[in-house]
Amino acid sequence: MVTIMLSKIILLLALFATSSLVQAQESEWLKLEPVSLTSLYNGQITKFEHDGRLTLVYFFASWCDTCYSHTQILKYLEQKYAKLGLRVVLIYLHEPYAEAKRHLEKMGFGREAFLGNDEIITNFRNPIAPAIFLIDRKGYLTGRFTEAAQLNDLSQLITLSMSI
Amino acid sequence: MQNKCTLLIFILILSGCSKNKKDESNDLLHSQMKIPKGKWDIHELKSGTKNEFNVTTETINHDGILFYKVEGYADSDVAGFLIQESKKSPVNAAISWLMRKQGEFDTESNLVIRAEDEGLYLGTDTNAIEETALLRKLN
Repeated sequence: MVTIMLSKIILLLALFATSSLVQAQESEWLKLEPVSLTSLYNGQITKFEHDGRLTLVYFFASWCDTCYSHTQILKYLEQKYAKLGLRVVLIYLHEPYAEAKRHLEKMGFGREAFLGNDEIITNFRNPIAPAIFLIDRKGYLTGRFTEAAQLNDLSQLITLSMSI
Repeated sequence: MQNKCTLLIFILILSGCSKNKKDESNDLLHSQMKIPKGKWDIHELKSGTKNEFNVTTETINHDGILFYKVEGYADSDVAGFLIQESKKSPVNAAISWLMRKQGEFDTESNLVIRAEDEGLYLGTDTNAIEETALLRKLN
C-alpha cells in the first residue's frame, strides 16, 4: 500500500516538474530565412533562400583538418541524389574570398558555394566546421551532423525524407 | 488496476487545477494541434526506428498545458505528451514527453511539434534537429 502511494506521489511530482519545464522554455522549429551571401562563382551578392527542395547546407573551410570525411560524403550524396532533387550548398566559414575560391576550384564539386557571413552564422546558431544541416522541403532544419560517426544517419535521413 | 487509479488521480487533479480557466489561445491550439485518439505510428527519421502507440485521452487541460495519455509505447505502463501553445506560432508548440517503464521515469523536455499534411513532426532539443520523428495516424 505504501509502495502504491509512493508511486502515485512520484508520478504526480514528475508530471508537475515536467509541466513547469514546459512553461519555462520556448522551443521552436528553425526555419531557413533568406540571407544575402557572396557567391564564390561570380563574386556577386546573391540571395540564398529555401526553394522547396530538400537541402544540405555544409559549413566548412579550407583550413579545416577534420572536414575531409564530411566533404567526401557530401560529394557522394550530391552524385547520388542530385537527380532526385537534393540541393547541396557549401558555406565557407571564416575564410578570405580568394582562398575559398581557390579551394572550391581545387575540390571540384558544389553547384552553389558562398562565403559565410555573420547573418547566416547567427541563423544556424553558430556552427563550427564541419557541420552539415538538412533542411526539409518545407524549409525547416531537421538534421544536424557534426561528427563523422553520424554520417551514416545522414544518408538514412535523406532517403526517408525523400520518400515522405 | 494500479495504473488506472494513477491515471484517475491525474485526471482529477488536473481537471481541478484547470477549472474555470478559459483561454482563447488554447482553443486555437486545440483546433490546430489536436492529437486524435487512436493508433499512431511514430517513425524516427535519423535512426529509421518505428513504433506504434495508442492515444487514449485526447486532452486534460492544466493551465494551458494539454496532456495526452499514450498506451502501448515501448512496454511503458504510463506515458503521455505534454503540449503547450507556442507564443510565436500556433503550429509550433513546446512539448514534453513523460514515460514510466518498469518503475523508472523517463522525461524529455524541450521538444517541438508542428502539423503538416503528411503528419505531425516531432523534433528534439531547442533547435529541433537532434532527432526528427514523423507521427502518422493509423486507420
